[in-house]
Order: sequence, then C-alpha cells, then structure tokens
Amino acid sequence: MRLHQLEVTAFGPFATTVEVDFDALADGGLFLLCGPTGAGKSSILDAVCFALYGGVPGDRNDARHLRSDGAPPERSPRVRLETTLSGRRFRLTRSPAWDRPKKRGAGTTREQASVLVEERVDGSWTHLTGRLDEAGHLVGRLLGMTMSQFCQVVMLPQGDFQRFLKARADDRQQLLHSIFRAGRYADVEAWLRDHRLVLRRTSLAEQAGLADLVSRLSEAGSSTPPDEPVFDVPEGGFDVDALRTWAASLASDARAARVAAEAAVAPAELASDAASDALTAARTLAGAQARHADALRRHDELAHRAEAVAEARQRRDDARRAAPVRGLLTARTRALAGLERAAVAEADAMAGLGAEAHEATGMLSLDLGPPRLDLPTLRAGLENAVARRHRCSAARADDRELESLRRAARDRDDEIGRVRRQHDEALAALAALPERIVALRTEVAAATEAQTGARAALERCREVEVRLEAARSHEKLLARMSEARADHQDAVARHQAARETLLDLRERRLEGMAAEIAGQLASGGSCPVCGSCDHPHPARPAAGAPDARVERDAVRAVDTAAVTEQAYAGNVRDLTGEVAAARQAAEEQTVEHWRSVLAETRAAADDLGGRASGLDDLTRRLEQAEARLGSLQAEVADDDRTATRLAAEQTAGAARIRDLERRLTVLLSGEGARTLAEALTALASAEQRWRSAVEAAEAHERAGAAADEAHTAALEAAAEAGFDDLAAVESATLPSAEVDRLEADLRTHDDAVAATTQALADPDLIAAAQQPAPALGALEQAARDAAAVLAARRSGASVAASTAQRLGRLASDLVSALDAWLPTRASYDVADRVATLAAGSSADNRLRMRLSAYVVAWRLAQVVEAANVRLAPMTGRRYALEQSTATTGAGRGGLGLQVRDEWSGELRDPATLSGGETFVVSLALALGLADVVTSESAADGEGTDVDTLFVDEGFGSLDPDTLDDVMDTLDALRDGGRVVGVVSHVAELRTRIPVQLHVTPDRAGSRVALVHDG
Amino acid sequence: MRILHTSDWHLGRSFHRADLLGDQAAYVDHLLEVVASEEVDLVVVAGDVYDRALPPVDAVRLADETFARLAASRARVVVTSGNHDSARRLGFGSRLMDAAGVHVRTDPASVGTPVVVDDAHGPVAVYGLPYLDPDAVREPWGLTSRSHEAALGAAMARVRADLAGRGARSVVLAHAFVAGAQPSESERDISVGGVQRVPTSVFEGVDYVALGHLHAPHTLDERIRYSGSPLAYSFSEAAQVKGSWLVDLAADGVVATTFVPAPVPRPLARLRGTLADLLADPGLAEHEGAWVQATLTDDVRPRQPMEQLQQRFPHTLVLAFEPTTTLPGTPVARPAAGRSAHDVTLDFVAEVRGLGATAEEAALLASACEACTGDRDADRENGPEAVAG
Repeated sequence: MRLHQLEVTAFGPFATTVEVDFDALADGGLFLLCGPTGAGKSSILDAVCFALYGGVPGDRNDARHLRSDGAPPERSPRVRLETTLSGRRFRLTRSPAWDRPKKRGAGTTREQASVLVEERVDGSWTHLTGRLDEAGHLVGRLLGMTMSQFCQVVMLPQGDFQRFLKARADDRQQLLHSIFRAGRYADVEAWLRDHRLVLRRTSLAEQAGLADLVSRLSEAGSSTPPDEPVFDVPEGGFDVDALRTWAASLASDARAARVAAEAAVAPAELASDAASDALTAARTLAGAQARHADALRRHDELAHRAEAVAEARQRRDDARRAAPVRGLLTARTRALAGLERAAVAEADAMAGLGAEAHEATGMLSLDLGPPRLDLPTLRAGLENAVARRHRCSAARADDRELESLRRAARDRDDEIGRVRRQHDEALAALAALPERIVALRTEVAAATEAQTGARAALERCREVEVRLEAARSHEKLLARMSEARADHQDAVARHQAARETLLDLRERRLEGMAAEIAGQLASGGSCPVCGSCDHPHPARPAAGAPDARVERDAVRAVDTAAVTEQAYAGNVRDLTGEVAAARQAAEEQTVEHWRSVLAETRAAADDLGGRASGLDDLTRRLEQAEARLGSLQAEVADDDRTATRLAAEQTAGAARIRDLERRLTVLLSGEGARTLAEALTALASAEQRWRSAVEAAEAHERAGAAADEAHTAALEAAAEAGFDDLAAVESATLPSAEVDRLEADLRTHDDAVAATTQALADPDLIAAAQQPAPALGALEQAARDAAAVLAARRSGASVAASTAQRLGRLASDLVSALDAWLPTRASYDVADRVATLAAGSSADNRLRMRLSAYVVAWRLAQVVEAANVRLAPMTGRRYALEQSTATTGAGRGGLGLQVRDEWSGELRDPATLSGGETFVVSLALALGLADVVTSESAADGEGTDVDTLFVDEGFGSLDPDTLDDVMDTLDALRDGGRVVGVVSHVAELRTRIPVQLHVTPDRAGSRVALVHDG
Repeated sequence: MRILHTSDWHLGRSFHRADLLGDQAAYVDHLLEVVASEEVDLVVVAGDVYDRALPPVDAVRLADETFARLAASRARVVVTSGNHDSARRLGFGSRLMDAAGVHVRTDPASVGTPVVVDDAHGPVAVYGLPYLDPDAVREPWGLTSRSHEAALGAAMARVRADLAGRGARSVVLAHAFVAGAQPSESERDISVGGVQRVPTSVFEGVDYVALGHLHAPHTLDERIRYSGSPLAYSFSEAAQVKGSWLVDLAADGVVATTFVPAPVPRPLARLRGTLADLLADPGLAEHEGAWVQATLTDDVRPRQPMEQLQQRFPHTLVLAFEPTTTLPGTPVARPAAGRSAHDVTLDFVAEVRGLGATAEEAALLASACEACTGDRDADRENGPEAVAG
C-alpha cells in the first residue's frame, strides 16, 4: 500500500480543503507530521484510514462526528485518497454521514455515507463501485486486512500501538491467520481430509466386492477361505496371496472332476443299447405266435354257423320283391278310411240343423232321425239365413242414436236448474249496493276539500319565511353600516391630518426656500435672486428643513388618504342602499313578528294535511263499488237468455226419441227377440249351421270317388310283382331296417371266413408257432436297469461341467479384483498418513499441531525474528522477543509472546514493560510484521504489501538515548524503499527528520504545509 | 600557521547508556593544554559539536565553558555545525561571538565568506562549511540534483569564487562523508536519495580540508583528512587511536601534519568466550576497568549473565550471545521467507514427524496445495475426487 495524494475537506479539524502530497513526503523515506496539540496531526492519519475503510482508528471511531464543526453548514465533508494497492492505482473518495441543511425549508436532512472507488486503467480513471459494501470488500481483499488489523499493523495509532504486543493468543492468531492467508492451509487440511474419506469409501466398496466374490466362490466350491478374512477394514484384513492360491486350487479341482465324470458316460451307453435290442426281438416273436393261435380259433367258430346264414339269405330276397307294392297298398287303406269319415260328418251336420231342416223340407219332425237333404236344398236355406241377419245389423245404428239422444236430454235438465239458481243470487246482491255507493261519494268530497286547504296554507308559510329572512338581513346590515361609518370617519380624519401636514411642510419649506436656493447655487454661477456671482454668505438650511422631496412625499400621503376616504365613503353608500332594500322586503316588521306568523301558519297547514290523508283510499273504494254494480246487472240479463234457449232445445229432442223407439219395437217383434243384440246372435248361429251342412255333403261325395281309384291301382301292382293277392304281399314285407341288418350280417360272415383262411396260410406265423415262447419279463427288467445307469452317469457329467466353469470364472474374477484393489490400498495409506498428520491427530505428529496452526506459528516466528533484528539496536541488544512454546490446546501452540532480558536471562510478560519499552518493542514488532508480509507477498506473487507505516505518537515516552536508537532504526528503514510516517510533537524529531508536514490550527480550520527543515 | 583540527565532539552523548560528559570534559582540558603547549594559532572544529539538536543542559554548559576558555586562549576558533547539531541553535549569537575570536559558522548563506586569520606569511582564509542538507539548500542555491555532492559542489564553487578574488591560503572545514573513508557504527546515516558519499574532487584548489563526520581519523589525501572523534563512541572504534591533527600550514600552502592522540579515560574491550572463561581467565585482568562488550559463546544461556559479568567487569555495557551449537529443543532453523505453499507443507511434515515426506506424500501435498490456491471465493473445480479416482 503506497499513498500518493490525500485531499481532505471539512473533516476533523480541517474546515476547508487541505491537500497532502504523500509522494513528496515519501521522498525522504521518513516524514514527520508535527504541529501543536489538537492541530490535526492524527486527523491526517484518520483521514487515510477513513478513506480506506470508512472508519477512524481508536477511540475516535465511537464518536460519529467526523465532519468538521468549523466548516460552513453546507460544505460537504469529503476525503479523497489516491493510493496504490497490490500494484493497482486506486482513487477512493468517501464522505461520512452528515446533516445537511435542507435546500427548501428549515432544518437539516441526513445525507448518508457514500463512497466512490475508481481505478486508473490506461491513464484514465474508471469507475469501479459506488457501494459501501463492495468498496469495503475490495479494500479488505487488496490489503488483506480488516480495519482493526490495519490499525494494528500499518497504522499504529495513538495509545493503541501495543495492542498486537499485548494481545491474547486467540486475537493474535486471527490477525496472523488473516494477514498471512493461513486460510489456504486450512483448506489444504480439509482437502486432504476429504481425499482420505473418498479413498476410504472406495477401498471399502472394492472390498465389499471382494467379499461377495469370496462368498460365492466358497459356496460354489463348498470350501471356506483360509484365515477368516475380514472385509470392513480400509487397509484390508486378509492375506491376498492365500486367497489367490485358494481360488486357483478350487478351480483346478473342479476341472479334474469334470473330466472323470465325462469319461464314465460312454460304457453305460453301450450296455443300455444291448439290453433294449434283446427285448425288442423277444417281443416280436411272441406277437407272431399269438396271431396264429387266434386265427385257428376263429375258423372253427365260423363253420358252426353256416345253416342259419343260408336261411337269412332267403328271407332277404323276398322282402326285396315286396317293397314297391307295399306303398300302393297303404294308399288304398287310407282312402277307405276317408270315405267313412265324410259320411259321419255329413250326418252330424244334418242333425245340427234340426228345426230349420224340417222347415225347409216341409216335413214334420217325427223322430225319423235327421232328414237327409240334398245339396241344392241346403244351399237355398243358407241364403235365407244370411239375408235376415243383414237386416238386423242395419237396425243397430238406430239403436245407438236413441241412446245418445236420451243422454243429451238429461244434461240439459241439469243445466237449466243451475242457471236459475245463479239468477236468483245476482238479484239479491244487486238490492244492497246503491246505498253504499252514495255514502262513499260523500266522504270523498270532504277529503278533497281538506287537501286543497292544506296546499294553500303551505304557500302562505313560504311567503312568511321570505319575509323573516329579509328582517334578519336588515338587522345585520344595520350593524355593518355603523362600522363602515366609523371607518369612514377615521379616513376623513386622516385625510384631514395629511392635508394639514402638507400645508405645514409647505410653509416651512417656503420659510427655508432661501437656503434651498442657496443650496442650488453653483460656485461661480449667478444667484437667481439678485443675479450676483458672488455669494458671500449663502443661507444654510435649518435643521430638519423640508425639501422638495419631503414635500412630494407629503403630497403623496395626502392623495393616499383621500383615496382611502373615498373608498370608505363608497362603502357606506352601498350599505345604506342595502339596508333600505332589506327593510322594504321585511315590510317594516320585526323578526319576532314574522316568526310568530310563521308558526301559526305552519300549525294550520299541518292540521289540514292530516285531514286530507285518507283521500286516495276512499276514492279507490268508491270506484270498486260502482264497478261491481254494473257487472251484477249484466249477469242477470245473461241468465235469463240462457234459460229460454235451453227450454226450446229440450222440446225438439223429445220428439225424435219417440220416433226411433217405435221403429225398433217393430223389428224386434218380427224376430221374436227382446233386444236387438239377442236377435243378432240367434241369426248368426243359424247361418253358421246351414253353411257347415252344405260343406259336409260336398266332402262326402269327393271321398267316395278317391277310395275306388286306390283299390284298383293296388291290385295291379301286386300281380306284377308275382304275388297272388294282396295278403301275400303283406306277409312278405319286412321293415327296411331289418333288411339292412340282414345284409350286414351276411357280409361280415363272408369277410371273416376269408381272413382266417388267409392267416392260416401265412408261413411266418407257421414258423413262429413252432418256436418256444420267450421270457419277456426278465428282458424288460434288464433293459430298464441299463437305461437308469446311463441317465445317472450323464447328469453327473453335466453337473461337473457347470461347476467347473463357474468356479473357473469366479476364481479369475477374484484374482483381477484383488489386483485392482491393491493400488487403492496403497493410495489410502498415503492419504491417511498425510491427512491425519495435517490435522494434528496422528500419532506421528509429535507437536500435535495442525497445518494451519503450524503455519501461523511459523509466521509468527518469522515475525519475531524480523522484529528482533530491529529490536536489538533499539535497546542496545538488551531485549529480544521470544515466542512462547507452550501449546494452548487444540494444537494452537506457540503464539504467545514474551520479552527476554538478555542481561538477566529472564522472560518477562510484555505487560510488565514500561511505557517507553512497550513502544519500542511494539514498533519493532510492527516493523518485523511489515517485513515478513512484504517478503511473503514477493515470494507468492500475491498478498499484501505494506510499503507505508504510520506511527502516531509514543516517542514522548522515550529517553533521549533510546529515541536516538529508534530514530536510527527508522532511518535504516528507508533502505528498503519503505515509507514511515511519524506523528510526534517531540522537538528532537523535527531536527532529525527533514521532511515535515506542519499542521497548524487556524481560526478557519487547520492548515497543512510541506516543509523541508533541517 | 599551526592549526589544530578536531571534530565530532558529540557533547552530551552517552555511550551505551553510560554518561561520557566527564570524559568529554577531560578531553577539553587536554585540548586547551595542547593549544597552550603546542602554540596553536587556530583551532578548527569541523562539526557535530553537540550530539543532539537539543542538547542537555550539562552539555551546553560544557560547550559554553569550552568556548570561553578557547576564547581566552591564544588561538582563534572556527566552529561549524554538523548533522547532529541544530544549525540555528548552535549559531546563536555567532555574529556577536565573532568579536571574541570564536567564529561559529552554521548558516549556509555564509558559505562564501571566510574567516581571515593572519599569520606571519599572510592571510589564511578559513571557510567553514556547515553540514549542508541537500533538501534545505536546493531551493536557495538552485541545485539541479538532490545529493550531497551537488550541495558541496555548489558550496565549493562559492568558496573558489571568493578565493579567486583573495589569493590567500585556504582552509576549508566541511562535514560530509567523503569517498575513500570507512564509517564506524556510531555515525548517523546521512544518505539522501540513497547516496551519501562525496568524491574528493569536490575539494580541488584548497590547501587543507578539515573534514568532520566520520569518527575515525582518516587520511584521504595529504591535505584532506578526518580528525575523528576525540572519544570512542562505539565498540567498533575500540581499535582506533583517537586524537586530533596538528597541521602546519606553510607559506606556500604545503601542510605537515602530526597526530596528537587524546587521552583515553577508559579503554574499550571486546571479549568473547563462555561466561565461566570470562570470569575466571586471569589474562583478562587488564580489561577489568574498561568498557566491555561481551559475547558469550555458552551453549546454554547462563542465568543472570550481566550481573555475573559486572562482578568482574563493572563497566560491561553490551552483552551478545553466539552459541556454538544449536540446541535440539529450540525450533529448528525456520524456513526462510519466500517459500511456496508446497514447500511449507513439506516443512510441516518434516517438522512434526521428524521424517521428511516420501515421494507419494509429497505428490499428494502438491495436488492439495494446487487445488486450494486461488481466490477462496471462487468455485472450486478440482475436488479431491478428481485426484483420488
């Protein structure tokens, strides 16, 4: 961090803008900020800190009042710093929060803290950010320090410089951790830990695979692995080589077994084949022998049956001949039966006719049985019956009409009764109505009158109100007028006074006119009065004499007063007019009068209004009553008309009824029935009987003819077939089924005979019959045994083959898995060792120190070493810093600091040092810290660089010799290109440090001046 | 003319916290004795009269007495201010003191104006050049570069200009670091712009140059010398013989010089050895009264070393330790600064375990360091899985 320019406005004690050129100050490598107390020396450093971090170091940060009190209220406080951080040039402009006076209105408004960060890129300033949080983040990252750390390392503030020296180990660790970026080593620790975990998981996963393979192998090979291997330890709890040999041996054993099993199969095959061949031959022989014996037996059977067979043959031939005739015979029988039936039917029909038949023939019914009528007679009787029925059907229509007329007459009677009743009711109602109508009319008239009266009363009320209003306004106007009059009087008085003043002034002016003229005299000019150019004793104006200007003012005053007076006079006139108008409108009566009148009128209006309220209702009722009267009257007339009509209809209907009744009676008597329906029924049945009789006679005739024909045909056919008569045909007939059966039997018999003859002639069968019977049972058993042995041998061979294959595959898998796992184990070992070492938990770690803690302790050791280099000359080699080696838990050892007094060899706690000693030691520490930080950043290529250091006071606590030594040390710093800024009031330093920035207080804020002093 | 050339009195200076005012007073007595006995005509004090810009009261009193006595003696005195003095304070009343024969020259503006001292052979122009701060004289003299050489060059130009008009013998007092001489530990560094030396060529044309600033008596040239300080002000000067130059300036400007050693009130001794040896060795008896700088070579730091030493050597001022062997308990030689992160991790392993890292361990640490470099806020792309796979 190297500072270039600082510009401070209205900040701290600087009311105006001051500029500090750090480049010029840094020329000498060492510069001094001096000035009297309270001038603002520390404020320069505060401004630098504020520009970087937005806060000031030390106690002043708590008081939030950074703006200068001496600055004018509208000047905004601002700090602008140009600096180089990590090789990049920045310009930071910051403004604290302050209360700005409002642009409009009174009071202040709070202007918030702001920041602007720009970077110089290619010669011009580019905007980086304007946000407080981003700026803080940027600065923190570039400097590698927070503000409090900055104040411990770079800016040793007043009274606070010893904080690092006296800090507790924890705080120191944080600072070192942050400055030296030990976070990176914490990341390394975490990375190693994760790496180890990953490898552990991989190793265990691979071992799980191994375990699985081993169990499958042991199951397939039925053998447990040697030494009970364990597979859940990452480093592996088993002997790799033993497993390998075990797997190989299993595989080779399985292979040998398979070979043996396969060898045993072949001989069993041969034995089984031989046994089955023998069995087959024996079976064939036995079969031939059986067939021969069977044929012999059948032949004997057939011979016994020869006679019966011949008889059956004969019967069959006869039946064949008689078959065709049979049909005709059957037809003849049927025709004869038909004839008989027709004759019976005809007799029945005749009987049914009964009485009618007798009538037709004119014969008496003398129990001679049913008469036999011939066909034409029957036909005539039928025609007669049909005609009579038709006549009765026609009479049915008349009957229906009669019924309907009767019903209509009954209805009309009812109607007439009803109409009469209605008429009587209407008449009764009509009697009462006219009286009521009259009463209603009277009431309506009264109410209408009351309404009219109420309207008039309201009108009058309104008039009275107007009057009342007029009386009120009259009173108000009177009041105003008296006021206006008074004003007018005043105005008149003032006018008068002004006029008098003017007159007075004019008089006085005239009196002093001489002086005025004298005043206008130009030297050397002639006098307007006497013409002389010599003015020995010109008049002098009296004190307080008015001149033209004063008179003009007085004239103006008079005019103004006159105008005012006229205005008021106009006012009075207007009001007078208004008053007169109001009085007239109120008819010269008072407000009270009108009020009482209004009350009376209102009361009357209300009363009338009440009376008129029921008007609408009454009107409606009257209308209703009148309407009802009209309707009733109409109704009565209507009923009369209806009754008359109905009576006429009734008379006409009765005449027609009588006519129809007469016609029907005539007809029925002719038929001998009481009702028409009866007659119709009887006639219909008679007709039916006649018809059936006719049909039966016709049928009988036809049947006779057919029977004769059939008989003739049958006789002819029988003679053709060779039978004597029909009876012979009858007996020879056999059902066709029987004939077929006989045919079949004959055929079967013939076939059997042929077969047996052939079998007996076969030579093979003859030969086989001559040989002994074979022992089939024993041969069968032998064949079965041989087959069983073969099957067993075959299955054994296949099992052995599959086992050998599986074992071989598993063994090779296991070997390859073991090979794959070995490198994993090796890596895990390495990772485990390194990770536990870095985390401080390994047994190998003698110091029990984590990597990040070690780095921090190591850095602190570097810092202490560098500090001691500076400390030795400053204390005459008496004091040296030492790192305390005590570990304070959690492997955070070695961060304590102690001071060793070389002369007594004792260790002292830094808290026991005196003020001056503390200052010297802290300064040495700060310088050592800066040295180490710079060299580290140079090596890494990243990190903070601390080119500038500030020491704020503290030199006053040193004795002159020590001060000398300290100054020598600071002088030596210049060699490294570092810049040290010292704030001190010690006079000695002003001579030792030539480059100085004087800060002087001033009424208008402090000023700074760059001075080269010797 | 006989000139006594002395410089760098550093009145009020303490020697490692020991007060030297008494010894400085003794030297003043010696000086006045020499002036009287050797018949010195001119005493030149070439700067650094006081040790500080604001000297303590005792030192001022001593200086006052010294000048008074010198004024009363037969010699004239020319005094210039050095880099330790405050030019203004030392130069108080210089114009008034001229009359008494004590010429104090501390103002750069008076550079070209000599003090003329007459002797039998003629005038001698004595130019007293005070210590010239290049920054201070740059503006008034319009120097082009910012260095002691430029300042002295300009001053000498003025001197030569004046001398040209005078034609007398010349003596120049200057307070600077002239090349060819060796510094000791007690001089203050005056480098400006990184350079503090001035070449001898600056002083061409002057008969004698009396230099001050360095505390050892150097002879750069026949006529350009350092007188050195009258007392030893640091242990590095223990071997030096302190004193002043007695210079005889002949009529033709040739100088013949003699060295007058100053009394040594207390010698310096630098001892080295174990504490036991130092306390017991009889050969060191001669140093028992000297200012002692002891370097103890004990392997184990002795207890209360200073107290024990001061029993034999009561004026032990400085104690240093240089053990011959490094102890196993103390931290091993820490790794030098500027080591990469990977190296740091390897050192860590070696330190906490006692054994260095094997090749695989080193490779693993290297990958870990690589994976963790860079901005901590950025996303990590290489995780441990990438390496483990």
